[in-house]
Amino acid sequence: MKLDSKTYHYSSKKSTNLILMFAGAALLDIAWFVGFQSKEFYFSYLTSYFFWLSIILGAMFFTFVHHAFSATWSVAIRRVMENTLMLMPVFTILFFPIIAGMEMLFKWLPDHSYWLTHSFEADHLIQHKLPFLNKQFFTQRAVAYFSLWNVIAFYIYFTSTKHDTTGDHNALKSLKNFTMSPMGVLLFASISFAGLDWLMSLDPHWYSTMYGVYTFAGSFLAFLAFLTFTLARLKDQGYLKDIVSEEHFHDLGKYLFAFTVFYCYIAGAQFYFIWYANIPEETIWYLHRWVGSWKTISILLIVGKFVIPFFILVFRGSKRNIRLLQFMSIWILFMHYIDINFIVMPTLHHQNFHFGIYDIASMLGFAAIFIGGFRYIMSRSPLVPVNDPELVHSINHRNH
Amino acid sequence: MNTYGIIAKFDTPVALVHAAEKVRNAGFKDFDCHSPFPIHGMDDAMGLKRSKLGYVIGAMGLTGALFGFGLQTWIHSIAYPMNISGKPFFAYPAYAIITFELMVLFSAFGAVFGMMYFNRIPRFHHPVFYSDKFSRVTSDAFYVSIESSDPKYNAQEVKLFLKQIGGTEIEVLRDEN
Repeated sequence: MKLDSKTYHYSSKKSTNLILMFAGAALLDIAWFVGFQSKEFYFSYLTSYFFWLSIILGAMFFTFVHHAFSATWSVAIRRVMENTLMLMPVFTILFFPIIAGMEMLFKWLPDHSYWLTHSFEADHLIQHKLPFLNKQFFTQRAVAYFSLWNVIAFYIYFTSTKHDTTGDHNALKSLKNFTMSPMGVLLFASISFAGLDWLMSLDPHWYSTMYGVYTFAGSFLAFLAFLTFTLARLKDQGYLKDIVSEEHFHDLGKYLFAFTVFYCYIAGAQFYFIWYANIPEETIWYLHRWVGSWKTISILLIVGKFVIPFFILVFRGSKRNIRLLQFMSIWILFMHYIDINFIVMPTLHHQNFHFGIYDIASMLGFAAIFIGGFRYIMSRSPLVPVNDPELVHSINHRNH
Repeated sequence: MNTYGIIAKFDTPVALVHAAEKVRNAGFKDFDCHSPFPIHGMDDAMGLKRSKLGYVIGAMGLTGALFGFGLQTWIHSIAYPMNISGKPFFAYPAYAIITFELMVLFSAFGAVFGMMYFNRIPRFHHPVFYSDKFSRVTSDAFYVSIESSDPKYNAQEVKLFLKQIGGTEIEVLRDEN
């Protein structure tokens, strides 16, 4: 099947998108300028940054799965995943404030304000972790992750879009080889270690062996919600009308359901291990999240990120209802934000949940950059891989 | 002699699907299709509704979860309260695993026995096996059977109808009794 690439073109004003991106960047810059010396800014920035970054990381994983298994059903929606990858270069630049504010964020640095009144040398646990948690190695690891993620993003995106114009099916073969290669292992390892570096090490005494999977589970769920929302939105605007059908949404609904359960399984397992063992260095992390209004947030996570989506998405009817699925994906994204806030913020606000001006500024700033950038990237290539030989099967995909 | 119904042979899976559609459109309710392998699209062609098995499994799963949780609550907080590493007697996080496992176990029971109930198995004999030629349905033949319990059933008309839609080797089968 040959599709005219013009028919499936997403039209979006380049200037509007670029203005949106610059406005977002300006907002973040102003927030950084005002909050240069304030821990609040860096923690809010890290929360929002990781929220949006995890969507890109989830997209990377889904693209890998799609190509490695030569999946058929997801061919029609694969360009949306590939478009998400191309936000990686932007988010590489946006990581710099975190490097700049390391002393504010990470307690394992001797320059952290906590060590003005306490003895750094006397903290045996942190001393023990210094070979891994030090400024130089931390930065090198960040460089390594971002190099890897950018290589993956550029390779997959440009191989795929080149296939649109040339129609040379060897491109699909290279994509399959690329995703079947040890790149997949590296991607998985880098997502895990990024979670360890940027989130888990905020509380350097604490550790959890489930943390890498926990990061991955959250990221993938967030991306699935983003993908479902985007496709529903595109359909509303009249795109992909005869391409993406109820059947694709049904499958995405299954994915959302499965990874809601998977997330709960991982988050639950992490909690049970720590609860059973009852070791002070480990339980303190959960104790911090069981005081004041953090307790409400913890319960909200259990109910909102597992119980409600589980009982709504378990029915076949709700997976085939695009409106409901779109609402659920917004809900899941919201809960993902709460989840990241729940991970990051109790390190700073020990007593109560706090949502301040820096949280709003960084959330809006990142949202503007992400949405502007995403719309710009979408308008640069057809919304479906027009030359993919499996496209027709994907369009006619049916659930039995 | 009671008649069970009438069977007709078709040669290809495609012919069987089309035959099923025609039988359904003619308004028959009590009919069945027999093939050596599952055929995609057959459920739609026969106008079958979605299985209710999922709801049985869901109900059984919830029952199992409640049972598991209740059982542990009763054991650990009422019947045999024991101090385990200083944790409270009603230590509900610890119950999650058994609760989950019993949910899975009950769901599996619900799935297996529910499936057997809906499919009416075990059943050791079926009237279609009175036909000598029917055994070919396990290798290369495709059969439609229309049962005499159908309100629209009329032996002569059904025979004619099956012939019209391309059935061959039409046979009237007697019932078990």
